[in-house]
Amino acid sequence: MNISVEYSHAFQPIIDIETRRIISYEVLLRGKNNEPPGTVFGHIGRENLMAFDQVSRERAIKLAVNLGINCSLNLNFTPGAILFELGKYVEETLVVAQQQGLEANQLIVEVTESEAINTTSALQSVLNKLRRTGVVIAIDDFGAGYAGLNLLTDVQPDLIKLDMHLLRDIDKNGARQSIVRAISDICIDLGIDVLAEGVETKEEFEFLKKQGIVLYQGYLFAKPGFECLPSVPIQYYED
Amino acid sequence: MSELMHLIYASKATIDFSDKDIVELLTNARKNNNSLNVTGILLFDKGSFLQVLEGKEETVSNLFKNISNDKRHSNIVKIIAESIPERHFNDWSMGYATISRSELEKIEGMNDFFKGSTCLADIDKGRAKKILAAYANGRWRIE
Repeated sequence: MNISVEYSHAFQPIIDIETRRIISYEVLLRGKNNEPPGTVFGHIGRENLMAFDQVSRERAIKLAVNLGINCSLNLNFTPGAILFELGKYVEETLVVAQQQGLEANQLIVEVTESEAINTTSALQSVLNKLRRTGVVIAIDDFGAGYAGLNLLTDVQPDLIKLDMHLLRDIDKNGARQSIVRAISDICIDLGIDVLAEGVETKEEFEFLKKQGIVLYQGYLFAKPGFECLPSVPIQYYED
Repeated sequence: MSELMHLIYASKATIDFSDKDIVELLTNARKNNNSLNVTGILLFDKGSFLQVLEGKEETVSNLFKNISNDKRHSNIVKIIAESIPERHFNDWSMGYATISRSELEKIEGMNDFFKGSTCLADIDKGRAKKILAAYANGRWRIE
């Protein structure tokens, strides 16, 4: 693969308000001067996309380690990249992470749902195989598009990230409140952690806290930091 | 290579278990699971069971088939069956909600899950622990 585009990464913290710690950083693709990811993808042909994603993830791991990461790292994979050669990309990512001194359980594999998964049974068997390595499995944008409740009948991740559109102004929106309550309830029964992503206001945060959600990511706590690992103001941790 | 899995199910008792029945169940299951190298936990509260079984995939699947045929319970609900990187339990033990602490301490393999001290805290974090915590909060009682 010959890709000339220059790129780098930003990192956004994920916090646990119970243990009052940053538990992970999500890796986000950026241009070399912190441009949005679209400017990078524009230079990459469709046929190179999966291979580029892999090279990019491996570079991000090295950058995070150089920055002194001592918690987990969330990395995005499309369902296609997970299924490719029965999880080869995830296994290669794990090898790189371990070479860099990270443990398998520090890797959070985010399955990003941009397209319909017609092969949930195939995904189920690959994820089961990956489970044996000890990596943590998360579903991104849960409640949006194709990542709906029916997915949980076949795949029970360790973690779901609630879609940010469900959380927007949730303190004022009854339908969103009742959906989030129902999803939280299901996740308690199935042993799945719930993360609220894209939280922007104090009011959204206060509502979600009352629902018992303890994992958060969003502008309210910290914006993504370009080539750095941002901290989170202490006031957002529960007292 | 033998792959590890865990299987978690809930069910409803079909007979009235006396204390003696419970101890018998515990003794037999502990012996059997020990010989199969199956670890985990069985909980019993108000006529409702929850069990976590850990072991080699084939062993656990076969054991679950046998358990499913056991006439002492019904309405068996499989909650989770998935691969795991390592075991979360050192052995197989049982928790029984209405047992007293003094009785509990006399019986080999009886844990203190319902007495709220060390049992749940000692389990490594992960799916099994989260589902056990849900059970401790009154979920997964099969009626």
